Amino acid sequence: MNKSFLTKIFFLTVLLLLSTVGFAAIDIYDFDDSELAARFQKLTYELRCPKCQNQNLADSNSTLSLDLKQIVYEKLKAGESDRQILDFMKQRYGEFILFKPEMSQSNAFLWAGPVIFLVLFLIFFLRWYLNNREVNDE
Amino acid sequence: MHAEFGNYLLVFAFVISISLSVFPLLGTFTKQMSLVYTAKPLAILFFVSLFGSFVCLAYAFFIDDFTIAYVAQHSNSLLPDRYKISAVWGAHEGSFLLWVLIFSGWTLAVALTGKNLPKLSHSRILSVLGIIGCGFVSFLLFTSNPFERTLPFYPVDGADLNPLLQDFGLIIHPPLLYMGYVGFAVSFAFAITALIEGEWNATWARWTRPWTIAAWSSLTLGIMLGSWWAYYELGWGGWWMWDPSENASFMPWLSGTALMHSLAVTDKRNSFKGWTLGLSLATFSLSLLGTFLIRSGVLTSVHAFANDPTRGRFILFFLAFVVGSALILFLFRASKVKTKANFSEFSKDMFLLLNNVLFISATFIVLFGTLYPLFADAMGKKISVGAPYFNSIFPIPLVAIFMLLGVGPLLNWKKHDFSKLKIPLLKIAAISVVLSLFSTWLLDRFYLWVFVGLALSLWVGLNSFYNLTLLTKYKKGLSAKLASLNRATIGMTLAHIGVVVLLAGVVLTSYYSVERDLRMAVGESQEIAGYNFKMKAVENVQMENYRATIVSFDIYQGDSMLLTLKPEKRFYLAGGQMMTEADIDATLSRDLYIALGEPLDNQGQVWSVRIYVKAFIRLIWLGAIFMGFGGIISLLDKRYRKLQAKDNQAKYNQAKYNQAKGNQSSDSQTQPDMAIS
Amino acid sequence: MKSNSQVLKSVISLSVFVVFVVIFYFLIGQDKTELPSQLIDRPAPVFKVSDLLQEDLIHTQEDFKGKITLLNVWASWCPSCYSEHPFWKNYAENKDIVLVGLNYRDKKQKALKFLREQGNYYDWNLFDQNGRLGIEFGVYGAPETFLIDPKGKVRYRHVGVVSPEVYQNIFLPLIDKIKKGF
Repeated sequence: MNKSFLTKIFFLTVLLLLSTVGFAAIDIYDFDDSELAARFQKLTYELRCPKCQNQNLADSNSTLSLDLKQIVYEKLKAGESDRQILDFMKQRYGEFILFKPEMSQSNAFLWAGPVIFLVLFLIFFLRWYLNNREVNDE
Repeated sequence: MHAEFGNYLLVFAFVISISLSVFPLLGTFTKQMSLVYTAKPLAILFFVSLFGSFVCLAYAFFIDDFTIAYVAQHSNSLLPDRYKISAVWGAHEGSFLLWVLIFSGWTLAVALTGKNLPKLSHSRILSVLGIIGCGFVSFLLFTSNPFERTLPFYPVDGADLNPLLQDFGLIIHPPLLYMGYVGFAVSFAFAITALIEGEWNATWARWTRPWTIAAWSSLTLGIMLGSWWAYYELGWGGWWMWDPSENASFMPWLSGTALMHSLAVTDKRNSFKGWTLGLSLATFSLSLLGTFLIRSGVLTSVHAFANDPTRGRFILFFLAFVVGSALILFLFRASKVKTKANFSEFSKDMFLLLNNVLFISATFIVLFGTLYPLFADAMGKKISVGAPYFNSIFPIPLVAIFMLLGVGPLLNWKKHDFSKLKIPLLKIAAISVVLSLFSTWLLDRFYLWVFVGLALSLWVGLNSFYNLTLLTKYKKGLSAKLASLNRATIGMTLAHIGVVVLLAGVVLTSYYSVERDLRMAVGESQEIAGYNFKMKAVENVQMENYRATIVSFDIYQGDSMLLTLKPEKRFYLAGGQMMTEADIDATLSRDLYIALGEPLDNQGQVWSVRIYVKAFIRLIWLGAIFMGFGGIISLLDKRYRKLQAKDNQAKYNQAKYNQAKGNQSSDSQTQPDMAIS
Repeated sequence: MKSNSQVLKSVISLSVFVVFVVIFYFLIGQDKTELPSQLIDRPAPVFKVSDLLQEDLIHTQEDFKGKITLLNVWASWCPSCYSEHPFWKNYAENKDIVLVGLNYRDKKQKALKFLREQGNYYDWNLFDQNGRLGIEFGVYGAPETFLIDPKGKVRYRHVGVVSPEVYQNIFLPLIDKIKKGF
């Protein structure tokens, strides 16, 4: 190998190093798997911070919510399911911590209420229309 | 001195409001015209005294008068002057004074513009506003007086304004929002007067319409500003959290939207009067409910004001009185009215009424989800109903609304021949689906909701343009075509385009934004969504009333440096609060958003950092601006000015005429009758 | 002229309205931020945590058994804990109960300094450096105080400062009840 080739390699390496501008930052919650990262985002969005009660875990910077986020992270990495993680939180802080109430029997009214309202309202309106229809076709 | 004067003016306004609620109303029943004629001067005095009182409080802030408790708690001598203005409405007492002032402004506007209303009705309307004003002023005076003194031991300096509120957005957001909230009081007063008089016809609707549209436009812009403020100021990049206080303003907005559309039916077709009356009452009742929820402390919310049970009880009693009497009046008077369904299933009437059914259902969803946890709590169950709940339920009526919205504006009143529209509608639907699929394909990943959202946006948008071409098909040339459109049509189309833009923004930003929580040290960099963020330097600076740590980031795209963002962490000297000040670079297609978390080492060289690349988020506010201005433009329509020149009989004839010609083609633009239709 | 159905409609609407107003009335003035503990009448969570003063001394939930325990969550960073702490001196005189501290998310040196300066009235202290034990107990702020019965079951949780009034009116009656075997 001649010297000029080595010099070229050297300069190329230096250029490459310069162009990569320093070191890469680290994700605080680092997932190799983008599916896990998405689940993390969804879970922290659906969990309410018990301390600062108007925020979800994702938005909150309180110590407790950082701890809880860390737990979510560890549990996801350990392969737990969303259900298991939500149950873990619920066991400790109650249903209050779930921003998305469970679709359980006790919450049936909460989930069904608006839909029932909409359907009844539509039926009521259409019945009224059909009974009071008074349009002369030309 | 100014404090006493301001307080006297409040007491004076209280006395005036009592007179306004009693004398003109009494006069209209005893036929004493001298009493009836007191309404206008009283309404003017009402506004003037409150304006004076407001100026006194603003002056107290300006000269740092810390002998006034409210000033001492919410200002500081170091506070920059521009924020001293917003500090006037930075907390409960002052913001309620602003609220009452704006209310009296609406009252004044009604007093000054009602020349062509029947004199008795005009005075009754002002009296009803006087009753509401009396409730507001007494609430202010007896539970939330902003002029209370700290004497004799007043503080040397104030406790400072909450740093979150030291911001431009907070200077303009509350006034606009309150304009919307209390603006619905005008349509409420019109409705109550109509009920008292037992006579409501198209004239009543025509008079109510501009007031409703004005209030709705202000509320739209007010909510939009609130959303924008939360986005950049709270530091987590959210634009709508379904927070209870947001819901409190969203409910009257949804119901007001329904009202605006049903007013169009009542105005044009002289039908659905009972329904529209009920909506007028309901919309302002929801405004009052929102006020109660936010100011009584029954909610835990970001914006909720201090928890004082007397205040809560006062507003509740006031609400019970106003809404209760409106309800009783309505049940006794309006339930007798039978409405005939004098339109076919494919007509503008039908679509507007379905719009109402859906908007009221949407209002119900928000109401239900907001109140459910409160009522569950009363029964001993703690539960949270948050964004994920609303996000899964709310799209149900929304999708239906958008499907109807595409067709509704194209239709004639009473009856439309579907066969004429079938082919163009199918074509537009096909184009929408194809274009939406194409765009989602361009955006590299397919999401069902993005596809649905974009397809619906295109559907409504293309139909709006199709409608414009139909309306102007007999005119040659673009400028002639544009000139032939009346302002009501332009306003309506703009507002509908706004909805389209907003929907597109919502789905795109929800699915294509990238959010990263990073641990970054000076010199490190990170590639996110094609941008390279490099943390360059950390510096500490001392400002007027805070110390800040500013971290600068250089952002590269490929090899070229685009810009530098400088998010801050601020420490406010007077109150000792820490504040996150995000830095944002905004373009139509994306926002680059950086917010600092906490320092992770002792030297302050390593930070937890949030970096967002928010796709198309600006479309959300742009859409809302279109909607608000659409409303304002339609207000400028000639028909509302023409209205003032006509007497009642003529208007009645007009209504009859409209009813009769309902079957005519909507293509004709001889009658400017397209507003919000 | 009013039909029966209209009267019925009016009565229903008005009653719904009145019910709403009444419910709202009772909601006013309640503290909405306080969360109920999920552990009431359940055994204390399983844990293994070292003592604050003696690192090699390991505590578990079994240590609560046999006596009535008051578990007080405290930290040196918590301002209310400083105002609460002097009261524990008096409560500790009640020899029927064991007073246990849970030092929550604290630095050891600062925690020890707190006990040195404010006085150590605890029979023993759990050192929960990373806050995980607190989360097991559903703690969301300091101070909080748990009442645990001799079977190791949590009977009550108080959020906030245990003032003499709170102790007198809430804790003592519950302690009496436990003593009577309920």
